[in-house]
Amino acid sequence: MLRQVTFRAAAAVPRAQTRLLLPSLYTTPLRFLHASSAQSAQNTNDYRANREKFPEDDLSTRYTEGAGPSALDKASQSLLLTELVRGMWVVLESFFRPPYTLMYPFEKGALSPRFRGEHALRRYPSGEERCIACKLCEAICPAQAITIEAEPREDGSRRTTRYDIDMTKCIYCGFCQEACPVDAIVEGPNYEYATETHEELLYNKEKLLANGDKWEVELARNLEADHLYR
Amino acid sequence: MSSLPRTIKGFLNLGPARFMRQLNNMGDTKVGTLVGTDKFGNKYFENFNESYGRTRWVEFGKQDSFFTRAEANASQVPAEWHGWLHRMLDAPPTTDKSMVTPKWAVEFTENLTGSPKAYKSYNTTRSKFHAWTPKVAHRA
Repeated sequence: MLRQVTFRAAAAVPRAQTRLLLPSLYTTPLRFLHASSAQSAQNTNDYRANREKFPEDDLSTRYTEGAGPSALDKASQSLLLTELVRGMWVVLESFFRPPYTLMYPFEKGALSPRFRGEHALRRYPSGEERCIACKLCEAICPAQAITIEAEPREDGSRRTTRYDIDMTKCIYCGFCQEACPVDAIVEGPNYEYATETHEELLYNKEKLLANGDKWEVELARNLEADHLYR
Repeated sequence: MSSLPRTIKGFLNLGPARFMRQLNNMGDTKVGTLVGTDKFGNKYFENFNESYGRTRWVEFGKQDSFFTRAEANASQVPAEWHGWLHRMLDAPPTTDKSMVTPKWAVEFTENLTGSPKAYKSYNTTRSKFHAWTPKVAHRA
């Protein structure tokens, strides 16, 4: 049965050999110069090669006469509304299954250690801030959400005087934490920082450092979990 | 999944007060082992017989009642317990000895938006432009 159908489908499409004999009838002669299906059947991106190698795939999408349900089948199915009944049966099954609903905020969804949420500026274990004002994050930021100004501190070390992130511009791509050479700017696991005003989302350096101090317990764990892949 | 036998079992296990509170909050009765309590009074529970993704949950220390609404808040879970509740970590911070709090860590705060303590943005640099007081030359 399958063999017969295959043969019929192959007859419906032009075979490669036929095309070699009569190229100008239905295709341009330039097709000869192409890396064609007839020579390289390995190339699976070539749909002609696929059609010859796997005729059953082609049959699944191709209309073949007499292969589908008969007119009597179709008429009886539409008369008896079987599709509606089948759809309602699926609804009835789901009705008796346990729901997938997560009762937030008492239950929370699983998060990856790589989750990119609210930003934070981290410190060294001594308490010294990590950021050295190299401005790589500012340069890489595709949304241009980061603004940095720097000047030498009293002890001569180079630090930022301004580290602002507009959290409403940020697209949370994580390029800043990837660009950072000292792991200073990170995107933490917190996503529950929605505010009532726009102004509260214009984070400055103090807010970012405070975030880091608040979340360092978990930030350190997440960086540790991911250190093999960095 | 909430069902009548489960709700009755929940009532018998939880007692009337917690039963009512859970029905009010979660709309379900969940019985589990108490894993720990954080410094804000939030209680963390675990029961692996619950359906997938609902095995860990929190009962907030701050309670919603008839007189005080919206006291409990999703952002009240502190950083130590956050990873456990979100199933990033297997061990809770009560047994996890590798979790170290740095000495410069600050007190965890919930999301303070809408309150008087809400963060307000300000400038951290000295201003680049200074107004001058114009001096008018005396004309004879």
